[in-house]
Amino acid sequence: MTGFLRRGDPLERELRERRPAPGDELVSRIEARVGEQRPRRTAFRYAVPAALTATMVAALAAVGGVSYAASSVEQAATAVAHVFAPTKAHGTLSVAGATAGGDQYRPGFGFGDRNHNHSGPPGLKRQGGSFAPPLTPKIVGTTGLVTTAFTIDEQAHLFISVLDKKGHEIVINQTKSKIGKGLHGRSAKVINYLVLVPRTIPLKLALPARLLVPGTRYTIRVVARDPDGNKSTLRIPFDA
Amino acid sequence: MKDPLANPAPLVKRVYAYVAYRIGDGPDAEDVTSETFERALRYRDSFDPRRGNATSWLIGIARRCIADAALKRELPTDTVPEQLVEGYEDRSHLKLEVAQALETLDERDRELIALRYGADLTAKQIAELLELKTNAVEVALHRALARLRTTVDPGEPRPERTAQPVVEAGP
Repeated sequence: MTGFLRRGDPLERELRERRPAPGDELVSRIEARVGEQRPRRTAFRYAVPAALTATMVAALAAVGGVSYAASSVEQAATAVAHVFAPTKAHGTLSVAGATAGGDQYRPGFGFGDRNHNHSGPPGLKRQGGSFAPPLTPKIVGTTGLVTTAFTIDEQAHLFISVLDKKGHEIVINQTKSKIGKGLHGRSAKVINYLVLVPRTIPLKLALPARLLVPGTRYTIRVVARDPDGNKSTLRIPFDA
Repeated sequence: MKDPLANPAPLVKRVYAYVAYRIGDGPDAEDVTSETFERALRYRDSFDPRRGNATSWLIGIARRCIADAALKRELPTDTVPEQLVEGYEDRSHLKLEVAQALETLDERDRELIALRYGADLTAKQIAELLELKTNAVEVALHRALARLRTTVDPGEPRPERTAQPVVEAGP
């Protein structure tokens, strides 16, 4: 053994100075490839509050929000206040069975009906149980799709979001997402969903692939608030 | 928005050095480096300079690429053919020896050495990448280097490839 281990801290120096170097051809090829693709501008903008409120009110009206509120005015008013007032992120309200013959019009399925609620916070369970391994998103074009399901045991207002490893909400593309049935509307950081029929609900969230950093863990957060105001939270991890 | 790939050449060198220290110098390291930059191009818009510099970001992608490559096929562990050692120049020989010594380290030590001396990240940057405390990284690096030194020992003369017979002195 000669040379490099006889000076100060030569092993470290050797590791640095003799680090493997790529061939010129590889460097040139990657430089050319990078040069081909100019960076895209991220033009995402948050809506101004007035436009946001108008959108939400329109969405609420479209899904029969007035009718469902009539079945339990007080609770519904509280729930809607939770949707609009405290959250910084924008989202639209979806109501399970939101059709003219939907559940909210059936006797006994108004929000707050005793037959579909219990005391204490809502029970939430993820598909596969709490020890199931993290999910993996499926990348389709520019979208990452995360698919799972969860069970809720009483009526509740759900706030569904996806958090990065620092706990920041990332944007969900509602058009390609499903909570039970497909969703509609602009991209949102929080999706609001009113469950009138307690059951297992399939969940598919569409996320911009560019926001999913490989090797990073993300979390789907489902917050459920029942008509009495009890709250529970379910966290479903996935690895990009 | 700051473009993380504005000046790619030095980044290619650092990513390649990291990858080569992890899986060995050669075509596999080139493939993984290329794949790393392909993914980086795909996720270019997601780069957030507040969460780390471009090198840390790329190394995070490279780590994932190495893991994926290892899942798809067995990455080589012994990349230095025995006969190459014969007749090599002294410095080249040292380089080979360090490469061989790295192969004796466990995955964790090798990862740390690659991050520190291949990618040239600071202990703080490594800590952020591995979600460890800086102090823990420094200690782990120190130990990894110590283990590497036991393989590439500075004090010992390099043994001959063919051992000389030991002849005891006569009375």
